[in-house]
Amino acid sequence: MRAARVLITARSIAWARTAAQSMTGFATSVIGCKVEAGIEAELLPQETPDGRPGVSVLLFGFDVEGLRGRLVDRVGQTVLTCATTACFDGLPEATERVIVGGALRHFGDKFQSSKIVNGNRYWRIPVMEGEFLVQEAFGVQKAIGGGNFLILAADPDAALTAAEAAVDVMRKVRGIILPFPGGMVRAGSKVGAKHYKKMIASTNDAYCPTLRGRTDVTSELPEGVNSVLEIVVDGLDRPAIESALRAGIDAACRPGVIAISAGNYGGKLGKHLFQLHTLLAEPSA
Amino acid sequence: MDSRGIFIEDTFAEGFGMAAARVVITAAHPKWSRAAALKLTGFATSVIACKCEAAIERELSPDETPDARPGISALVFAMNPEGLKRRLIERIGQAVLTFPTTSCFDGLPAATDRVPVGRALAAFGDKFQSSDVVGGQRYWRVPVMEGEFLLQESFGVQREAVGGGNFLILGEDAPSALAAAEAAVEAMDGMPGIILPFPGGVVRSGSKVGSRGYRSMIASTNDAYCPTLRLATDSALTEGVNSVLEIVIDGLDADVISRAMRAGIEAACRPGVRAISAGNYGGNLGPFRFHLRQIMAGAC
Repeated sequence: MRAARVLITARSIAWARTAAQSMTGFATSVIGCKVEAGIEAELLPQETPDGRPGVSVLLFGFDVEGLRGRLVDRVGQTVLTCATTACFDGLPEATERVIVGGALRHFGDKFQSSKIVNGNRYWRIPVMEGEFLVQEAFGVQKAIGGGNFLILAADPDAALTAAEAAVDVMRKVRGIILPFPGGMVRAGSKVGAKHYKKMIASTNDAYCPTLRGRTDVTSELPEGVNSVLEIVVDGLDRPAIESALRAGIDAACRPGVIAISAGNYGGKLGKHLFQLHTLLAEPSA
Repeated sequence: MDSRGIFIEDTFAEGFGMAAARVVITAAHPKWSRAAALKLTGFATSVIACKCEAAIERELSPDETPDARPGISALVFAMNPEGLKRRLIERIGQAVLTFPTTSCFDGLPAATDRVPVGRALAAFGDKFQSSDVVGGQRYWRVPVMEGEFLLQESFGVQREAVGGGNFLILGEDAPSALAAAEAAVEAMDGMPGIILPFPGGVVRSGSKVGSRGYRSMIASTNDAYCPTLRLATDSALTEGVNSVLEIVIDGLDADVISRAMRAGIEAACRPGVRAISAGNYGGNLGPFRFHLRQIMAGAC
């Protein structure tokens, strides 16, 4: 995948968070939403370009052009509109860059102006509140989607408690996001469908506890497993995903959890394989 | 006309007809229904760019929900019932079906116009789904890894919904405008039948139709209300106004919008605010007019 990091700053952390929440809504799967996005971290004033509190958001798309389109759409709808915010590129080292502020500036109807500071162009777009400051270009880098693990538990409460524990620690890892609401997914899918030709994905029946006894389902669930949740991780690079998976699995290993597994397509679809045993044999970062 | 010493301009907000649905999400805990609702309603600020406008309407106590669990209601607005149906399928599929412990119900049971939503999403169950009819309504049970996802087959559509209710807060400076906008949002928060689709309920980037500088733009900054352009354009801002924020309101009907506008404007009339105005297109585009002075006089 390709990823961008958007830094949203505001007068208060609450307003930065509000913009980031709106920006990352309806962004759970790239197939259904054209983009996967989530909040990476909250930033202290000393960590942001303008010395105000901020939030960093990661967005993942299939390709550079798609990601550029989503950045323009989402920054335009949820940051440009949001009181007190400014918007900066969070991948200054990336050599590949896409024009975002340079497209949104047209909203200024030729009343906008720009300044170059340290080699980067920033646009000042007049709005009713005052002005919106947005960087001209955003860095884009190669990234990895689809890191995941499955929590196989004795009952739904145990699965949920373990998933919450995993999400809590994983959200502290920089360079990754958990794109699903609350960081977890209950609707694991298989490619295609057995019974509907047109469906590109359908429920992962082998992991559905309510389907275990059926003759037409080959269940993958060990005895005693009655609820399964998945944590999906997108990351800027392999080490970030590995750190997150390691920390998350470690936190999820709690009473009521019977096993940890992972979802894959037999290794045929993705070039990045995360072997759970290898991952856990290495010391935590 | 003044409200607590603050000038109410003699103008109106212009509203458009929309189709709306109310989605009720319940979960084991209110924090889960809220998390699902936030994802459901994200990136849904303007129907043109996001294909729908959506936000949380209010939190629901267990005695207000179909399955007696804590819940939340979200309103989703689109230009027509067909568009609304698609947005519901997409967004419930991505943000609710995926999320642990949630169930999803129609929140407009009295609406006679209905769109099928559950059936399309139940196909995710790959024919392992089943359905039951309870009280004349069909509910789907879709097997997922956690257990099952329960959702209603059909969702009511309110065809007489209205988008584009709004008012403008003209403040002496940015902090005053923001404090007034925050007070207005707080006063309107949880009012039944309305949502504020923009982040935090507030918009700073009011727009005009089209653009003078760029032919292809369908909307561009409302330069007449930009304080930094006062000297560069034909400004509508009176002396002393240096920051303007807008509150945009969508509602299930015109009455609820009027009520929300009155509550919001009353709360926004605070020190540091010079005037309250509203955005319209001269009355040429939308059939609904919300006259500020009539609303503040109590004529909803």
